[in-house]
Amino acid sequence: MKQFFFFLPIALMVSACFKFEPKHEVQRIAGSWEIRNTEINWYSISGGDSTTSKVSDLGYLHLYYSDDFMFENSYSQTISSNYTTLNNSLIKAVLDQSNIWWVSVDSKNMGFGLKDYSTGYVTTIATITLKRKSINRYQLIGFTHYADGKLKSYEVWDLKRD
Amino acid sequence: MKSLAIIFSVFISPLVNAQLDHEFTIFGGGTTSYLNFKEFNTFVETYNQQNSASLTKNLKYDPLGFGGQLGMGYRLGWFHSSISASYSRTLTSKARINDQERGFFFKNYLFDLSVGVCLTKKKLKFIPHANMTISSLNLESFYKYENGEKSFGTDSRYSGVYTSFKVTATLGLKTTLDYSDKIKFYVDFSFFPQAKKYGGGSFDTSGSGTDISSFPKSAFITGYVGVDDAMTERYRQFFLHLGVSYTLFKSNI
Repeated sequence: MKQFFFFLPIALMVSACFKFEPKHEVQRIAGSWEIRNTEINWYSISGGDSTTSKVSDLGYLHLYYSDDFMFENSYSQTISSNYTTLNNSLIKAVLDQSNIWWVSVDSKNMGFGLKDYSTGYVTTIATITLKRKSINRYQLIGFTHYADGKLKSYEVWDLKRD
Repeated sequence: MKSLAIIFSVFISPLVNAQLDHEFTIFGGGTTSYLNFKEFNTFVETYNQQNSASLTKNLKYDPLGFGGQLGMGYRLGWFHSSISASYSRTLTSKARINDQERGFFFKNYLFDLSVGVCLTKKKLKFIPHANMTISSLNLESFYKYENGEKSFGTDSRYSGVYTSFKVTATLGLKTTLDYSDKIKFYVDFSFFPQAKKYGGGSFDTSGSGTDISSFPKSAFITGYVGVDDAMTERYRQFFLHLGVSYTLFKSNI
């Protein structure tokens, strides 16, 4: 029993230290994710009306993690035929333009960038809001807005760990 | 003569009067913090000036934070040492733009290695201590749209998680009150003593390869935020920990 009380605080403190280690967050998110559903809500400029489009079973997102700091984390996709029918999607556009990914501390957002492997230069394409639903379920949430700041579209991708 | 008396009372008398016993404890409780951050206040002022036409409620910085602490301590006679991890999060500083909201808050993770002197008076113990502190302070910024969802992405300026990290020294005073042989209540006040000497690092977004962006020290800075434009980790911070400690073992040597 004494050993339990001795090691429990140590384990909790070590895990607390990892909270501010970005690498830990990336390791946790890395792996294959099934893109189960996407839902895009479009709002009128007056803010009242909205239209919704839904697409399911879009394939898989494979997030690779490299332990070597010289290499960025790349990703690939296994797309379904439904994925090709997805139109006007902000997140799809970001994925199509990028070749590397990362996650912020606290897993609040997921970054996507374009790395030029000949020069090593990285350009950030976008960071997308990430919401944790459970250990194996996350949501990627994309927003666009009108020039006056009002919400134009709100897009949710449901991800389930494969 | 006065200095000799101080040295005797602090270092020698505990050895003479107290039994040389040793004690191992675990402790935990709540944390209140106060983050005095002048540069962020400057950002708040410039943000309010820049957006005065559209803001329905001005941004106001709230420096008060709440969290928790967990640790373990070892005492050998008058010598006391401990390790602990603590967490605190400031209240959210908000601005309103009609049905939308801009919010900022700071999250702080601390890991303390502490050494101190234990002075006993009846049921009370006073432990002035010095800590080596590993401190990670994250600035989290979001934009809440009219549908109630928060964005931490690049669809709006400032949104995201900005991190800073430093290893520094803190000072404090811990007071414990014996409730029973095993259980004590404690109050621990600690602070970062000299804010300006810790400057150097800036609040950067974490995780990206080379295209790292920083948080601006003024809202009037637009576009890419260079080193001279970035908000630096110069702040003064106070902590008040309240909690309970439990003695796992205690014996005389």
